[in-house]
Amino acid sequence: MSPGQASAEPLLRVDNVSKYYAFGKGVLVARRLGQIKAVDGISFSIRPGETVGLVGESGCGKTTTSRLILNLETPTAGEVRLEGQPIHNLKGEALTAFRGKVQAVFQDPWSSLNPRMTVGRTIAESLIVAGWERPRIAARVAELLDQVRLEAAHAQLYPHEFSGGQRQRIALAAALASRPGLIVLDEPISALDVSIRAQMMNLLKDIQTHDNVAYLLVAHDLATVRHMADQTVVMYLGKVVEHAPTQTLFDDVRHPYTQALFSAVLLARPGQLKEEVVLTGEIPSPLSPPSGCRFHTRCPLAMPRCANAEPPLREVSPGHRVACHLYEIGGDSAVSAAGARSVATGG
Amino acid sequence: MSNENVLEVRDLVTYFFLRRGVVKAVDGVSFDLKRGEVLGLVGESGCGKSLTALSIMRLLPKGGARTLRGAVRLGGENILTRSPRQMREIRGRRISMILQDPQTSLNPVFSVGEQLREAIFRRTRGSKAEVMREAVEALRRVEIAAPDQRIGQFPHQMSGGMKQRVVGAIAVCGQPEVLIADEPTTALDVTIQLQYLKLLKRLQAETGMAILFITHDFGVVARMCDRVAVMYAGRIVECGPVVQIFEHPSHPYTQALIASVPRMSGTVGGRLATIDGQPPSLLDLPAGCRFAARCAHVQARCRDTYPPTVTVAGEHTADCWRLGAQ
Amino acid sequence: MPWLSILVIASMLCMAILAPLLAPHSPIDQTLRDKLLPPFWFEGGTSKYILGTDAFGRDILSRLIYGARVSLIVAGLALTVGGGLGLLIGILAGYRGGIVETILMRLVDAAFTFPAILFALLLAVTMGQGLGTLVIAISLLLWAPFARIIRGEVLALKQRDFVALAKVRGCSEVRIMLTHILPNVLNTFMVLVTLNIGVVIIAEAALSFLGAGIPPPTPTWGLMVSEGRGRIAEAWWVSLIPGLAITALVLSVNLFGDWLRDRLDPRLRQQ
Repeated sequence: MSPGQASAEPLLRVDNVSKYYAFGKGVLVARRLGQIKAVDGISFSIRPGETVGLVGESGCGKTTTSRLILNLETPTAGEVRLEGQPIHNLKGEALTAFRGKVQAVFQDPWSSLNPRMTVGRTIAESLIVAGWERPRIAARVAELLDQVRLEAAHAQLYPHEFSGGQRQRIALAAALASRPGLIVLDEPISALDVSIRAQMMNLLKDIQTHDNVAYLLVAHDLATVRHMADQTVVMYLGKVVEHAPTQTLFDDVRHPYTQALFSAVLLARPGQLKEEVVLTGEIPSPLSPPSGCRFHTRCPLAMPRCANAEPPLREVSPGHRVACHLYEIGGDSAVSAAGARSVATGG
Repeated sequence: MSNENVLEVRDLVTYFFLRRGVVKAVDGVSFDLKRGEVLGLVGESGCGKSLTALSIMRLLPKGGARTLRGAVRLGGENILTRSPRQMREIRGRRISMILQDPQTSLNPVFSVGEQLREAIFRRTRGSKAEVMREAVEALRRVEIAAPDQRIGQFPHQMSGGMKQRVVGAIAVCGQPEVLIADEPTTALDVTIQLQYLKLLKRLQAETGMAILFITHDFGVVARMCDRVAVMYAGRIVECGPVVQIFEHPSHPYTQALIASVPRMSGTVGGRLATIDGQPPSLLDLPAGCRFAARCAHVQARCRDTYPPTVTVAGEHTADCWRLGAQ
Repeated sequence: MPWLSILVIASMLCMAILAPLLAPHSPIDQTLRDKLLPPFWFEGGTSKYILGTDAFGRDILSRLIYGARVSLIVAGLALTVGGGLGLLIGILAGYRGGIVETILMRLVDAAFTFPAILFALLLAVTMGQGLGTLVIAISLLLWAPFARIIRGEVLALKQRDFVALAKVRGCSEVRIMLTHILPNVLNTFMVLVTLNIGVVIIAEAALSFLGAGIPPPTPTWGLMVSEGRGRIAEAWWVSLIPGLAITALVLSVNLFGDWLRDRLDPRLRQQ
């Protein structure tokens, strides 16, 4: 599970994927007024058994990305492949097979369980769809409940009898039922109480060790991602701005936006407060993203060219990719990369 | 910082009387808020921190919530015994409040300017032009760009962060002595959250008001607060200066809570310390220490009798039998 | 528990089922000698006809008892057909969205603007009077409000994560509609049904009153009100007694519906 397994074949590959939503007005004939580029040409891949963290603020496209990977949305351009197979043209049995391989746990434990369905039935859902026989289903449900540290008798109960933390574990058991290779975890702990979060994070790690399942962890909290993820992808307004193995990223933050996010992480010790990068202004609307680098309107280090040219994602060290004009090696940038970093961290 | 207490809460008890029984949401809470300080009130959902704030404001939700005992002294006078009319005079001028969700704090059918002007007029009774001038100034103080234009806008035309600034502007326009901020940044994005905390700090420095900052997030406490009170199942279990609490947490609950938060330093990964079990039901609280069932250091007497409040060092106190023995 | 409303509803059900056993007289046999007798506790009343007689000397109590039969059968059928259709369309429109929703909901809008009574009269002329006509006419009145409310509910449900998760788990659209959407709107449906029993009985009464319902002499409550209206000044009981029965049933059913709505909410049930 360490990022050192670079040679392993990716389980899932997101290849230059974009998703635009058209929006319009009109009663009978909708006039197209424009489009929201929710996700705009992103690429990354997930290896078997690893955790990829996807970080960003509202409107950055992280939820759209997870919905694209779950095949709940179809991309406008680009391709998502699972085990080499494009997922968005699957039909019939192939689609059912895909559903068994990629599962999800969502943020809100109060909304992710059907209140009219027993816990056992909810957990068994993917198995029922896959046509398992009753005794096998019952055995598997009991096994899953045990795995998420609930009791077999809980299968008969309805969701309203459980606390938020327990519900989230039920949702996890339901996701695990079909033994998926990948689970999309969309903010799985942010709705839980502080004292319950650590239990959930440990449980997720234990299950990963036990089942060798890969996670795509969508989160806004860097500390959680740092704790859980092997690779971290940082998104801003539909674009990947920085992507690196987690340890590398947290040792050597490059993109000014990531630096700002780091500053915003409210450190757990009062004495640790360092020089901070406080962004000014609001997050621009994805409806009319800024020209050039989308971050330039809030960037403390913006240069004239940032408003015009969009920086490509380039590798600054092995496995560490950044989309920023500050890091053009051998480029015509007046500011050297090292100099920029010392400015950005206030050193 | 002066040592004078602007707000003193003593043995505050607020229960919900429901058909199923009595929910002991606030069960004997005492603390002081000094002039010009930020006191963090930290706890998980359902620990009674928000209801403590509402009890102080005397804005308890309808339907069975009642403050039974205790005193809330604002500048020496007990406001629990004031008439509803006097209370209306106190709210907004001497104590204000910011709530978590800016969406519901503003009225969607009035422009932000109208809502702000109403709050200002209630205090100054000034002329239209004066109130308008002051409203624009109030928006400028909360760092809203182009306040002359923004003042005519409606809440739905603003982002969450901007709405929360307007809520802040309304809350501080009466120059209150005490501001109660109940999870004001929880609904905001992280970079916007940081901006807002900085703004609150600045407003506090300018006006010298004291802030009771309610949150579940120790990170926010580390950044914002001078002192912190940790609440669990209706009681304050530990209270003290922020650095003291973070470096030498004394109550097992605080210790476990701080240990369970992932770090931003050191090597990545590893396992987190956890607190097993759930907080007790407020309908059926144990006789002794409320944390006993989840505590790693539990002793027999913890289950029988509620522990005394022990002074750990200086202003640092905690409710734990283990400390008394030392 | 709304004991009183349950009592009223249950006794009316019993009346309908056990009509031949309970009715003291035939509901259609005319005894012109005994016409327009008031209820027994009034001057001129007799204990032979407890609630009096109508213009043809028929026993009002017996007609009331038999009338409950027709009224309840019509209500049951119309609610099953009209309500069921509304439920189906509401779920389909709400869940599928897009062009399906646009078409179905425009149909609903059209149904709302449609003069249902006029249509019922037209139906009576072309198909003839009878139970079938009545049920079809009332169903056409009912389905649109059902569809509109159920669709609103489905739209809210569709936003809940468990619906997206059901898709992730591999459920087909039909399966999602049946196992995830339907059980969660059944509450609303049941409440709509109880609240609409009143509408149906009043509609049946109105249509019978206008002559588009069950043909006489078969008694229905609406028909009874209609028959008495000409002599309301001298023989008020002929209209008033079935009118009171309608009021009592509609009120009881509404109270029961309110109670049921609270009762069926699992969160409220806890407390």
